[in-house]
Order: sequence, then C-alpha cells, then structure tokens
Amino acid sequence: MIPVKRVVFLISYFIGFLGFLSVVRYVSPVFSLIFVLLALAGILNDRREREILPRIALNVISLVVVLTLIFRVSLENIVVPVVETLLVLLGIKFIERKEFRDFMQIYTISVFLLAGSALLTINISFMVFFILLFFSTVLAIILLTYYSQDPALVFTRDEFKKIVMRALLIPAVALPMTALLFVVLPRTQQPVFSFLSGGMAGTTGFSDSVGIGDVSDIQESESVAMRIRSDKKLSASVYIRGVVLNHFNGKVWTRRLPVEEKEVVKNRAVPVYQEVILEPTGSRYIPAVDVPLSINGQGIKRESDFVFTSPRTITSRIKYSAVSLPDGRIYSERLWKEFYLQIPPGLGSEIYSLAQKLKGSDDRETVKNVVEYVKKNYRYTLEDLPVSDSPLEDFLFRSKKGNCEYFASAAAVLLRVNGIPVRLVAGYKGVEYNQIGDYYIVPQKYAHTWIEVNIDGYWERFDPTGISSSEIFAGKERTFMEKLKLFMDAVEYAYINSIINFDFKKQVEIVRSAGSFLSDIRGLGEIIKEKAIFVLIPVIFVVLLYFIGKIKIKGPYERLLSKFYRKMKKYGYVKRPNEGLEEFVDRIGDVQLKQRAIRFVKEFERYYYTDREPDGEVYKVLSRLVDDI
Amino acid sequence: MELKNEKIKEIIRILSGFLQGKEEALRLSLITFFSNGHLLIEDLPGLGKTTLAIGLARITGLSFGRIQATSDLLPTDITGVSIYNKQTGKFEFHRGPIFNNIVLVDEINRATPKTQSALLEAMGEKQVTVEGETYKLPKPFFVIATQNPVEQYGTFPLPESQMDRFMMKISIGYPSREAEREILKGGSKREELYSLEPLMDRDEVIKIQQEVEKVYLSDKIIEYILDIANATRSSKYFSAGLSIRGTLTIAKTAKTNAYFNGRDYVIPEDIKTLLPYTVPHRVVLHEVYENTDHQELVLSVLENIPVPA
Repeated sequence: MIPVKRVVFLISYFIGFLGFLSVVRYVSPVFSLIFVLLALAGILNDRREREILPRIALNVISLVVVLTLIFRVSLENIVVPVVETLLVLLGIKFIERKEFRDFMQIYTISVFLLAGSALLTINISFMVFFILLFFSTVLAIILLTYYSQDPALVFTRDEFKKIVMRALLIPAVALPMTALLFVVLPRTQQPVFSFLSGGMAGTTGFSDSVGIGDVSDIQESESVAMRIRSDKKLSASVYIRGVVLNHFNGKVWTRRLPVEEKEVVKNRAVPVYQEVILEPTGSRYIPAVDVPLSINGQGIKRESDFVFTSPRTITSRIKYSAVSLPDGRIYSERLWKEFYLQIPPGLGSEIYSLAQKLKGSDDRETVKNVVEYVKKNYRYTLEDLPVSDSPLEDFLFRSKKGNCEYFASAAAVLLRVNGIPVRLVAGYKGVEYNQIGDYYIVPQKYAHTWIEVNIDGYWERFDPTGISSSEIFAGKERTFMEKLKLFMDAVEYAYINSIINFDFKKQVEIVRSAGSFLSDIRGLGEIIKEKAIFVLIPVIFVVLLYFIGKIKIKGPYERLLSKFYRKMKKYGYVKRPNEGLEEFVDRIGDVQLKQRAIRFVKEFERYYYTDREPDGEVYKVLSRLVDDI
Repeated sequence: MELKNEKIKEIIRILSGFLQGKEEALRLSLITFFSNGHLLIEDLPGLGKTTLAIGLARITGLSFGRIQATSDLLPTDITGVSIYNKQTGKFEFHRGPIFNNIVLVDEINRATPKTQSALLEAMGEKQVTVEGETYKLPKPFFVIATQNPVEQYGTFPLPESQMDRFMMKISIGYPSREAEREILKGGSKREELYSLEPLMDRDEVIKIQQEVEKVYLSDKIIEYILDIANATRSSKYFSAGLSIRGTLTIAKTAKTNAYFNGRDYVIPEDIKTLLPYTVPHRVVLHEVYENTDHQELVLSVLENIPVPA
C-alpha cells in the first residue's frame, strides 16, 4: 500500500534538492548551508506535522530575503544573487506547512533554479538535471492532484504503477524533441531546422559560395540578414559587399586567396559610417556597404581584396561598425591578372563564339557589350532554374532565364574569355528603411550577386542582372501587415541593441555613471553583505542549538504521544488540548479502533502519570501498541 | 496496593436499586465519603437524600444520625448536652446526633448562624467542645447536608467561607421518566433499605480511606491542579478563587476517583470529571456577574486549561 501523501512529499523533497544541486556549484556555501538547514528542518517538521513559524512570519521573512536581493545585485553579477535568493525562498517553502500551492511553488522555484544554472554555464549536467526535474515534476503534479482531492488516499502497488507509467509517458515522448533544442542552443534567426523540410529547395540569402545549376527553385527568405544604422542616407538600391569569389569550376564559384594581390581604395570622398548588427550567417565574412574601407569588430580582419572576415564562424548575432566609400573604387597596385582570367575547363564553343561576338574595341566597350547583352536577353526568375551539368550553357542558349547568380556567372565567364579580369561579388542589394527605428533592414531575400571588372587597374562594379529582388519588392505597396512587421522589427532592434548587448562591460559603465545616486545604497548593501556572515553564523548556531535542544527535551513520552496523535489524525481524530487522553479516545466512533486506542492509552497512562521513565522494553511495547492502531 | 474498587462497584450496584437513575449522585457521595470529606446537596425535598444517607450507612455498617435544622435549633441540639444525674450526683454528657458516622443535616440553611457554625466546626475539627470538655467524633465521620434552593424566606444561607468546608456540592435532580416509573411500580423500599446487609465494616472503610491517600499523584497532575487554581484566582469573573483547601480537595477527590476506577495513579480525567462538583461553590463571583449561572461560569473558565498529555 502506498499512501499518496508520502509519495508527494518525497517527490517534492527530491525536486527541491534537484533544484538546489543544479546550482550548488555556483552559490556561496553560506546559502547552501542555509538551504540545507531549512530543508532538513522542513522535512522534520512535516514528519511531526507541526509548524515552526506561522505562515505570516514566513511570508515576512521571504519578503525581507527578496528585498535584500536588491542590495546584493549588481549589473555584473545578476544571476548568482538571484539564484541564492531563490535558494533561500525554496528553503522557506520547505519549512512552511505544505498545501497545494506550496508544492507548486517548490516545483516552480526548482525549475527557476535550474534555469539560473543554465545562465551560469551549460554543460551536460544541465541536461541530466533537466531530465530528472522534468520527469519528477510531471509525476509530482499528477500525484498532487490526487493528493489535493484526498490527502488520505492510499494506492495499491498496481494502481500506483499504472499512474506512474501514464504520467511519465508524456514527458518520455516530449523528451527527444527538447533534447534537440539543447544541442542547438545558439539562438539564430535563421530557421535551424530548415534542413528537415524541403530538401531540394535553396533559400535566397548570402552565402560564401555561389553555385548554379543544382537547385531549381529558390525560396524567398523573409528573415532579416542584417540591420544597419548609418550616418548618411542609404540609397534603396545600395550594394552591400560581402565576399569576393574568384574561382569558377563550371558550377560553383568559390573563393581563393589572391596572395600576390595588393589593393587600395581610391577616391575617398564621402565616407559612410555604419553600425551593423549581423544575424548569424554560418560563414566568416562580414558584409558592409560597398566599398568597405574598414570594419571594426572583435578580431575582424581585412583581406587583400577588401573582403572582411571574422576569426570565427558567425553563429550568433554580432555587432560591428564599418566605414565605407560609396563612390570609392578599389585599385589594384599589383594585379594578378591570370588569377582573374581563370575559366572552367570544357567550356563549350558556343560560349567562345558568343564572347567573340561581343568583343568591343577596348575593354570598357567589351564590358559594356557583355553586360548589356546579358541584361537584355535573359529573364530574371527564381523558379524553374536550369538544372544540369553545364548550367551556364543551358542558361545562355536554352532556358534563357535565371537568377542573379546566372547573370553574374555568365557575364564573368564571357568577360574572362575575352581576357578581362573579372570577379564575382556576393552580397546584398537594397535596404529597407525603418522609419520608426531610424535604421535600415537588409532582408535575406535581398541577397544579390554582381561582378567587379578590372579596367586599367580599377575594379569597377557592374551588375549584369536586369532587375534585382529589392527592385521587385520595392514596387509593391506596403500592406498593413508589413507596416506592423516593420514596427515589430523596430522593437526587436531596440531590444537587441540594448538588452542582448555586445559590449556588456561598456554598457555597465554607462548605466553606472548614469545612476550614480544608486551607489550610496549599493555601498550600504556592500556593508550588509560583508557583515552578513557575522550575523548569519550566530543565527545558524542559535537555530541549531534550538533544534538540538528541542530534540533533547522531547522525551520518549512526547515521541510516543506525537506518534499516537499523528496516527489518530489519520483517522480524523484530533485531540483538543483541554482534552484528556481517555476523554479523547472515548470520542472515537469505530469500536475496533477505539479498543485499540484505549489499549494504548491505558498502558501509556500507567507509565506517564506515575512519572516512571519507560525503559527500552516498555517503549517498544508502547510503540508497538501505537503501530497496531 | 490491592484495590477494593470491585467492592465499591458492588455498593454502587446495590444502592442503585434504591435510588433509580441516581448513580452519578451516589458515586459522587461515595467519592466524598471515601475522601474523608463532607457533602452538600442542594436540592428540593423528597428526591431521595435520606435514602442515600441511610443506604450508605447500612451498606457500610456504620451508625446513622439525622438532624432536621430549624430556626430554633440550638447548637446543643446537635452536639449533645450535660444532664445532672441524681444518682451519681454528677453531670453526665448526653451525646447529640452528631456522634454518628454518617450524619444527615436536613435544610442546613434553616438553622441560625450560631448553630451552623457549631456544626461546621464539628465537621472541620472532627471533634466537639461542650462546657470545656472536648469529645472526639467517631471515625469515619461523614456529613451530608442539604439545602433547599427554593424557599428563601426565614433562612440563613451558608456564607461562602463555610461552603468551602464541604468537599463537594451536588444536586440530585429529578429522576428520569423511566426511573420514576420504576419507583412508582416498586413502591417505597424504605423497609428493605433498613434490612440491607452491610458489605463492609468500619475498619474496612477506614482502611480504604487510608489507601486512597496512597494513590499516586504525578507532578504533571499537580501542575494541572495549580493551573486550575491559578485560572480561578486570576479570572476577572471571580473576586475570590480556589483556596488551598480547594486545591487539596481536587487532589483528594481525584485520587478517590482513580481508586474507584481501579487505578493507583491519577489521570487528568479524574480531576476534570469532578470539577463541576468540587470548584463552583468555592469561588466567589464578582457582584457584576452574580446573576449568571455560577457553575456554568466557573466551568467556562476552567474549560480551556490544557491537559497534561
């Protein structure tokens, strides 16, 4: 037979201690000690079914604990004091006489503690704690509902097994899903599980390589790629330079480092300063308005062709500032011409003859001819793209439609065949101005590819794509929903900028200097914090003494009596303080129960009211009599 | 210690035959009797007081005397008087009705205060002094005094200080319908009562009285009694609380009650059940509360005293 009450209590203790153990590494030992003492006192209390302190007093203490938190929290150190406070609150909850809500509070605080531990560090132990807490809380809540209906409920072993099995089925099913979430903890705005759906479809967006011919449909990605705050107005069709791709194998453009290159930016007329928040890209390239002169951010380096890279793959939001020269041109002081004339092997003769046809009198004219030709004769589409092993020829001579990657690839190859150094640039074209937040949004769907052609040492930008996505979308009237979206994004921008901060220390300093009036209070808190240990230790000592004293004073008679009273309480009989024992048992309605109770009472009185100390044997006999009731 | 409570139960059983539905009153009387105290019955006439007294005397094999108090009753009518004997030429002391083991004083409040105090002195001291000579009263000595609560004209109610001398104050009350039906059917059993065979003798009674003294009184119980005394003394309702005699009475009657129940130790219930009879007549109410029910008020004060257990 399994009494539901005992199970609920035990599970609740287990949950409370799980919460405690998940943070025990991070909190100061004083708080651990306080919690353990409180919890043990609470457990002892539950056994005796007594109240150490009235609820109101405990509530006041809880309030004081929470208030002292204000003194202890500093901006550099928020989590640990909060966790410590929660720990003390949990201890207080243990002491309280436990009703439905108290149990729920214990579970909630334990979950908060675990969440707090996750903020401090994440390792595999977090997952273990999480799984344990998850299962035990679900089970506890289900049993608690039984308990709140009937505290005296007793299950048979089979019933109990059944309930446990059913209760644990739900979390068991849910667990694999949650486990996935843990593996992919970094927050990204890109849908993390996109690989699960639509395997063959690519999405528009900036990537560090440009491939053609392997995807037939490209989905429009609505998510934001980056947000730019700029000191000058950006044109709606501004080019944002990401990565330069210089090697083409017939299907994919990749990047190889042009070692012998040396490039500078000339005509530095009107610099544009930008502050960029970049969403995770999964690559290492840092985009900025074309032509980027310099980018400041942690570990960001410039490569010789003015491509900026981060030392690590960008898997979380980063923030950086950039200076660009929209009118600038990159000048190659030392051009590695052959490098930019590379063409994929096995190019069809059709391409050569087309290239020949488009050749002008000088390089500039050739470029103009090629770009104009590509622009005019091909249709821009994101659907039904030519998929083949020679996608470029298919695009040029058969399907005659494609996206910017086809346009740029075609132009680049045609120019390279004509002996003009060309490279592909992947980035974004166009921005959306968000009036509410005064910043520019670059959505993923504005990803674009164009070419840079070297004419007389200068790399000049040419866009062979007739129309880009930003222009397609720009024509549309903004619907209410889109306006709402802009508003929401402005809110998010503000949130990202202020709360998810990239330079935490710096922000702390700002807040510090702004709220200097707080420092006095915090100074007081410091003092309290220092002295607290001197107060706490005696308090703990006194509490300990009190409990030890209480245990000692409580003789065998008191133990027997409280055992007896507990037993009778189970049957629904509570002795009034002004009631004698015989008077009390006389009230019992059930004849058999009454007989057994009387047997104990009579025997007990024989020792108790003759002031004889019961020896071990007598104690055992009396104790057994209580058990028999 | 060998408990003779079986014999006492037998006494209660036999006497109950003559006092249908009055077991409680009978038991309380016996407790007082074996506690070496005196009993005050406040009741209307004709409810069986005499039967109780005679029955008690017969069954214990003790002598019985009766005094009907009137306003012209003199102290010597109770104690006895010295009469000149012509033949011996000396005054001879003729013992009054008080020289009996069990004395019934009917309507004590009709006697004059002078007579009352003579009686009460005899009760307290267990001796009488007549014309300079002191005479011991027989042992055991048990007075049952009655008081008529209705007729107040021409009476001298016992002063509070005198009430204290009675160990218990009880009232018999009307019998239940069934009990009275039985009485009517059976007719008077007075003759039978007089032919009752005694179950014990004088020595045995004294022995039981001594044994009762030996019943164990735990410290916890003493504390409880002190709590009770304290409650009456500190209560705002009373101008005078329990006297020391009062607390002694509580202890003594509790012991007897325990003995009756076959225990050689006192439990709180022994005290609790007797409180309505041992305490109320000893405390003096404040004038403001004089019109309230005496017993109820006292019990309400004592009700919430926690019991040691």
